[in-house]
Amino acid sequence: MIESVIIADDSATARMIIKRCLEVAGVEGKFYEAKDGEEALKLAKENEVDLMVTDLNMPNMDGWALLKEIKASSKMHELPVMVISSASNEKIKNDLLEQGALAVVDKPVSPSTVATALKNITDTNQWG
Amino acid sequence: MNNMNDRVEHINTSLETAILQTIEEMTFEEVEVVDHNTKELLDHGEKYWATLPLKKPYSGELILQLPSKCARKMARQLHANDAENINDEAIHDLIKEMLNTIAGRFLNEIVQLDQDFELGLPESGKGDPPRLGEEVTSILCDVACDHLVATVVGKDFETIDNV
Repeated sequence: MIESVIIADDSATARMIIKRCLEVAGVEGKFYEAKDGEEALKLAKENEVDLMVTDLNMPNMDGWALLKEIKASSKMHELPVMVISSASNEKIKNDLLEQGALAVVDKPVSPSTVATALKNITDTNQWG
Repeated sequence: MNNMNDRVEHINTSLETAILQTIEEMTFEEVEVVDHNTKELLDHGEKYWATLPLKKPYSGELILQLPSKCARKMARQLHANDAENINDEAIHDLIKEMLNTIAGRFLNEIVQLDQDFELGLPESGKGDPPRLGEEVTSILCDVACDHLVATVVGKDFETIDNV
């Protein structure tokens, strides 16, 4: 069960829409918001979270670098990552999945696309 | 594609698709294309703009212009229960996120499936947008509240070969 989520996106509008979609898709619990990859990584290190949702195109540390840091970390490498971005075609999606993302969703998001991505993630993960 | 006219038509179609899908899905406003090659809003009242660099594989910029009343209406609809808290910062953020999404969808349409693409970070402002380069195309759209104009500028688009 997903009880805590970090949403990383430099747009407050995007964070609000993503949070709303996650709630409609059934996620209840704590939401942490980060406006770039650095903030998201700091939050992930300081808190027990079940899911990282990240944009790709962000200042300071982008979604690619954030994904790389998480997957290279001995403590966080099992944290599921969902990428939500407008900047992704088939090649980019495949590259992200190869690098460890569990789902890639196109913007603008809808509750149904987020729910499908969440199901893919929960099907491959067990939360205690 | 064989000539620049075909390429501009392809860019126009791709941009139209990106605008229509993005605005209808994000703000639930209906959008209709009114005219091509209209660089300025018809009504010269207060307006917001956002620009976003296209970095790879084509270098250029996308520019979005929106009348203030239209931007405010979209922001109010999007924020729903929080509508009384809409401030200038929220409107700038909305228009940048809208352009970011339009740009991603636009490149998805014109870039080959096996090709990388990269966007820069959006900027926004009020009044007239900066002049950023040679214009490729502009589209004037009718949205439920008013008009918006989306413009593509850049020099690399003659190399588009994604038919």
